[in-house]
Formats: sequence, structure tokens, C-alpha cells
Amino acid sequence: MTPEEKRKILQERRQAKMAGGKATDRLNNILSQGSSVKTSTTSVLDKPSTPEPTITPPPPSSIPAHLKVHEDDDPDTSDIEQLLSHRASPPPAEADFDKMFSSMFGNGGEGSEDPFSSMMMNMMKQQQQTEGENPDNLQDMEYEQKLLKYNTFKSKQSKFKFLVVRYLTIIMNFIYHFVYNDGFRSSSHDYIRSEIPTSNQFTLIFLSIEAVILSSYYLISSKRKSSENMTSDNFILKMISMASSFVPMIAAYQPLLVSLLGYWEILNMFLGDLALIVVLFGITSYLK
Amino acid sequence: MKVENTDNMDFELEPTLESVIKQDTLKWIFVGGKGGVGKTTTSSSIAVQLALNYPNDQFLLISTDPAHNLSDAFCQKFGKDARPVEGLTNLSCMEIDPEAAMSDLQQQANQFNNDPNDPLKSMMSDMTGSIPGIDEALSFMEVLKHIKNQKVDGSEANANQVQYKTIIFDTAPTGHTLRFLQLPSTLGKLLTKFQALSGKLGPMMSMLGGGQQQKQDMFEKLNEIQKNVTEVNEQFTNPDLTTFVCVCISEFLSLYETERMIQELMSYNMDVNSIVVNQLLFADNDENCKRCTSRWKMQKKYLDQMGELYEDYHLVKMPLLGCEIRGVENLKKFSRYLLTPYDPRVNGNLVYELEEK
Repeated sequence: MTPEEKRKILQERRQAKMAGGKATDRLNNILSQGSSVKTSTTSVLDKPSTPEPTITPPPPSSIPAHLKVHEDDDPDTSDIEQLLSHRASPPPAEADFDKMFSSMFGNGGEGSEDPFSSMMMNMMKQQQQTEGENPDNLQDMEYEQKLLKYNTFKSKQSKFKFLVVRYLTIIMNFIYHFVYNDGFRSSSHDYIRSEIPTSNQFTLIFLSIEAVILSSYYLISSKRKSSENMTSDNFILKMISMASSFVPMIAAYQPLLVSLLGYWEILNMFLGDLALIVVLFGITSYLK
Repeated sequence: MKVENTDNMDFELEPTLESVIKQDTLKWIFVGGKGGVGKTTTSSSIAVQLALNYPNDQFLLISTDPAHNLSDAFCQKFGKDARPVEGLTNLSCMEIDPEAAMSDLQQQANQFNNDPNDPLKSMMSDMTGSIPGIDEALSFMEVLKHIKNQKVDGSEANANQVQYKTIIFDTAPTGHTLRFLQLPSTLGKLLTKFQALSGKLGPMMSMLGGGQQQKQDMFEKLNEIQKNVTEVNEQFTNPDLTTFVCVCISEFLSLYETERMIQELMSYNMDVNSIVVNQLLFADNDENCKRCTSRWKMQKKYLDQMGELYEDYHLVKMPLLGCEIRGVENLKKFSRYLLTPYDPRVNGNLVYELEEK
């Protein structure tokens, strides 16, 4: 027997001893005899991703010089996995390269300070989108846009409803006190104002109504924004979002800013209501 | 160690690396195992024996371990270029330096773009530094270079280019080595990805000042690399050309790691037929040292287990010596027992025979 034949027979024998789950048995045998804390393990040769359980070595002469078609449309190459009749460990997935590129370009375009890296990452994303683009993805995007528009409309609608309620209550409160309270008048004359008995009832009712309505509005709008994940079309927030792509630290202040803007909106409403009262006093000053 | 084949023929599996040394067709020999088991000593010993057995051929020993030890093993400074070993001129050693290789890469990139303000340049260095397994990748590039050299025939061969009969790799501990061996497959897919992006990269490169010709050159280079990678795949999976020698010690962790590594290599279709068990005490007759006796008893337990597990492998048993195995002369003395089984009764003097360095 020639050395080559002997080598070949031994190789086949070695591989036969690893086939059919025996590789895992060998490992577990070592573990058990070594009193390992691990009770069992699975060999890389026996892992479920393996399409065929047996290992058959390719004859050296048949190492493919010809090309085979891959399901994943990769260009045909004769690589190690192709030469095997099965594949024990899956090759690096396409996604791993995207992760690798992400780490190369500094965590992506959104957080990267380097516009060049951002551009590269955007290209990669476009590549992914091009590769993975199909009608379903486009429909999803359209749906998202329409949903955003709808949510914005609903937000404005509720704001309008609250406005109507506020104005109605203020006007009713004003009319009631104007009709039933003789002292509820405005005058540019200091003497007349000093003669008018003071009444805090209007102010009390007004402030109570404002507190209830405005706090309800704030709670409802906060919940809606968080549940529907609406993006604000506030100019300041947009600028902050853009700036955070270059200076990531700014993004940390975004939630605080959102809260402050919410309070500012409420304050504006209150000031608007006060302005309404001033206007009503102005109008009624011509009546008496 | 006798085995019976299905045709009822007995043949002995000698407990030596003689089959590896005498196999004339081998181009690539990998030596690997867990950390601290004697990979460098074993790979150096194999390289020394090859050089002694084939005095008219050239051999190259490459260290792919980022924590290089070849210089210490031979007591001679080696670098990123192959240098002959003093006292054994047909053996050269090389320690791949990732930083030096990186600057070589950048110099090559300068061929395509000389603009000092080019953002692509800084991106290249960031990119290459970020790639997982960059050390393995650089070692692999050396492999590609040598494959290219070997394809050159005599008439085209440059007088300065040495063609090595066999290249021995002193590899990094197991995980790194397995990652290195996965590279042909990974690189093939990566190159495919780059080709897919070529449509987008092309205009970008033009924008950055690279002309059409330079772009063309770059993609031709990538195609060439892909062809070489394919060839590497073929060579590494051909048992006539490539083999992997596992080095271990007779302890539980090492045995388990060796078995896992063998199975992983098998999944890559890489040939493994030899295992070297280092640091054996052979303390059967050493009653004066209780520690040695106790430890030898433990080693024998695992040796017996290895004997059962690896009956189809060449299981080479090497002794633990009284001092380090450093320098060419000591390596010559030690490496003899890779070809002749060590017998403590006959060769026991070896333990204290080595020159101290």
C-alpha cells in the first residue's frame, strides 16, 4: 500500500468516526471523564444547520474547478463550504458585513461626526434598501406617512375642540358676571374703578376652568404623542434633530426640550384666554 | 499503534511526524493548539527537521500569532521580511507585524490616490484598524503573496523572489487560528459585496479625484485577490498540499480543546492527521519526586484517553525538558524526537542535555 492510499484510508476512518452524531459523543465523553461542570455540548459537526449528517470528504481530484450556482446569487467561487457535502458552521451572514461596516464607519451616519462616514453609511443603507426593496416596503412607507398626517390632523382637531370649550366657558362666565354683577365693568377712569366693589368670583371661576381644561389637554396630548410616536413639526425640535446628527450630545437634551415646549404651549393658551377676556371687556365697555 | 482496516489489513501508525516530514507534496503546514502548549517549539522543530531533511530546498516559518515568539525560540531577531536562520540557511522565519503591514497597505493605496488631504486615506486606516481579525487578515495576505510567487515559473521568477517548498505556520491560539482559516470563505463573500457596491463606489471615487483608470485598476486588483482567495481555498482543503498539526498537553482542558479544534478543522475540510503531546514527564521511575509522580499519573490518564480517541492519528509524545528549548542547536536535538519516538529509558539524558540560553 502506498503512503497516499494509507493516508486516504486513515482520513476516511477519521471522518467516519465523527459522522452520525459521534462527534458530539466524543466531546461529551471527554467532558464526563474530566468531571466537567458542563453536562453536554454539541459538536460543530452535528449542529442543526448542517444539511446532511454525514461527512464525506471530497476526493482531491474532484475539487471543483467548475462553477456552481448559489441560491443567494453570489458569484460562483469554489470555497471551503462548497467543497463540503454539508456545511457544519454557517458562513458569516450578509448582515455581519453590514455590522462590520457600521463599526468601520463609526456607528453609522446618524451619530457620526464625519460627514464622509455618514455618506458611506447612507450609501450602505441605500444599498440594503435597493437589495431588499420590494412593493411591501414601499407600501409600508406610504402607510407610515399617511398615518403621520392623520395623527397630526387628529391632534389639531382635539386642540380646536379644547379651544372651543375654553372660549365658550370663558364667554359664558363673562356674560354671567356681566349681567348679574353690576360691578363687573371695565373703565378707563380710575375714579369709577375705585367705586366698583371688587369681586373675585369671576377670577376664581376663570382660573379653575383654565386649570381643569389646560391640564386635561396637556395630559391627553402627552399620551397621544407617546403612544402614536408622532414626530413634532416644531421648528426648534427639527433643528435639534439635525444638530444631533453632528453633535450627538445634543440629543440628550431633546426630551427636556419636548417637555418645555409642551409647557410653553399651555402657557400660550392661557395667555390667549386672558387676551380674550381683555377683548371682551373692551367690547362691553361700549355697551354701558 | 495498530489499526485494522475493512480489508483486514494491518498497518502501523507510527507515533512520529515522519509522514508529515517525508510527505513531499506538502506546501502548507499549520501548527496550532491552545495557548502555552508548545506550538512555537513544535512548529520550529518541524521547520528545523524539514530544513535538515531537504537541504536543497527552502522553507519558511511564519508566525501568525500577534504575540510573536519566533525570535525568542531561535534567539535571533526576525521581522516582517523573511530572514534566514543562522546555522540553517535554508530555513527562513518571518513575524508578521500588523502595523508595518498596514503602512505597506497605505503605500499601495497611494498608487491610486496621491492627494494628502484625501478623506479616503484616513478612512482606510480607520477601516483596516477596525476590521475584526486584522492580524489574521494580514497573515492571510502573506499567504496570498506566496501563492502568487509559487505560480510564477522559473523563467519569470525574479532572482530576489524565493520560492519555498513548504511554509509552516506557527499559529495563534485556537480561536484566532480558526478565524484565520475561515478567512478564504469570508473574504470571498466580502469581495462579492464590494463588487456589488462598485456601482456606487465608482462615482464616489471619481468625485474624490480618482480617475476612471484608477478605478479600473482598483477593481482589477480586487478581482485578482478574489482569484487568489479561491486558489487558497482549494489548496487549504487539499490533504496532499495542506495539513494541520495539533499540539496539546496531557490535561483535560487541552484535550477538550484539541478535540473541538479537530472537529472544527474537519468542518473546514482541512486535513488533521498528527497530534503532538508536549510536556510529558515520563516519571515512571522517578520515585524521588512525588509531584512528578503524581502529575505523571494524571498525564497518563489523559494519554490513555487520547490513545483511544486518536487511534487513527499519529500521536507524538514529547518530553518536558529541564530547560527551555531555545536556539537552533537545542531545537535540532529536541526535534529529532518528532521523527524517532522518545524513550525515557534510552533518551532520558535529553532532559538535562540542552544548553542553557
